[in-house]
Amino acid sequence: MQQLNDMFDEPISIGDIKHVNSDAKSYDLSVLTSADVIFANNFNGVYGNGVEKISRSLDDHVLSIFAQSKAGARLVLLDKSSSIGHAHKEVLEGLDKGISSKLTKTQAADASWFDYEEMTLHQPNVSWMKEEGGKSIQCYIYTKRD
Amino acid sequence: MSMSSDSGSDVRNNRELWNVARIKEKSRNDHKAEQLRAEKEMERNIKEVAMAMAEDERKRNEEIQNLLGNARDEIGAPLLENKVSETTPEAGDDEEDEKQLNRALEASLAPSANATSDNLELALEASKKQIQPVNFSEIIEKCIDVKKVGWSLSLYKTALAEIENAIQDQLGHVENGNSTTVLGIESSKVVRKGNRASTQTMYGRIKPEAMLKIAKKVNLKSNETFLDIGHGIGVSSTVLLAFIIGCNTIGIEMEADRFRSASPKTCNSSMICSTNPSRSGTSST
Repeated sequence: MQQLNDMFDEPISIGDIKHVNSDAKSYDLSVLTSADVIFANNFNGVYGNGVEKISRSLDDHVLSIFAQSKAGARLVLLDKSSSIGHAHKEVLEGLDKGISSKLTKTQAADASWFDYEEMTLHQPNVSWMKEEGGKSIQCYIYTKRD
Repeated sequence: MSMSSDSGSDVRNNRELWNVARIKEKSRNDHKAEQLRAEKEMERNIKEVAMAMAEDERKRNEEIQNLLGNARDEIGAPLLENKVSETTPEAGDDEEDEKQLNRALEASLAPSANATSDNLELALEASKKQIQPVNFSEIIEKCIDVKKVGWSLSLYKTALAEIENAIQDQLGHVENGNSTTVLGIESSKVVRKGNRASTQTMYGRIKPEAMLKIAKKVNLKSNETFLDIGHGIGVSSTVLLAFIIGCNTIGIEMEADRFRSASPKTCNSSMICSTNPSRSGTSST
């Protein structure tokens, strides 16, 4: 690291790395909700109800952390959340099509608290797929609105 | 007169028939020649493909020999404890298969005087199943535009070397204190044993280049905090992004073995580990 610092007038900034065991009783939830970007590799629904040790699924916990995070926070999942509800754009589209006709646009904006987009990760992207001929996977990005 | 006329007509007809027959014959000949050419072309192609396949096979064998040589020189015994699988995480560990793989690799790493041809074949078969060790420098170099990051190339290379050191430093305690590769860690029983029952957690790692693409897509900045829920061994997410982006990273993991694998040696018995690789010491809380 000294070698790195010598090459710059100011020390190179490398972030703090903190690992938490979720069995620990002492960690503060606010540490998790303070994150700007939340990532969960829940590919193929592995954070769903089948996971042992917990009453609520891990997906629920992830969404709970995201819901408590600051505005502008991004949540990145490898499996689409089925319980998060409709994205802002979807609600507005529903309004335009008359599906949500009882809502005004302002109400529709309040009805959804996040934006949503997808991105495709082309292979090689995950350790369980072959480098050659592996399939692309989808990445689901939720952004918390103001 | 009429006979002469008939005769003339017959001659014309015969000539026409002959012409038709000649055209047909020519067409048949052309077709045969075409077929012959196509067959020869196909034969040539097959030969070329066969030669290419033979060349590929030769190269693959050379690579396997190199791999075995490198394993002996650089990794040694710890590698033998790790089964490497190209299947999905759901496949789990097959102990019998692993034992066979280990025996084969041991045989290949033993002095050549003791190695039988059977052992060699087994070893070659086993090494074919083996995934190449993760080469961080190469992977990250491919997906980061050095100019955009604003680093000089030499600085960038130094940073990558530091990342590798940090990873080794963080993961080195797992296999009886011996330093091992990222691949070795993630394929070891310690990390993958959570996969055994269908009701337990699965292990599979997103690769560094994919994580960097995600970081770019969500515009992760150095003054932001990144949280990985279920960080596993932490290499591709928390460690990588702390070094490359420079942001603070937090990982949370419910599998105790994976948590310990991702944490520095000094944090073995702690539930929460925190470290800043740029500082001289490692702290745990």
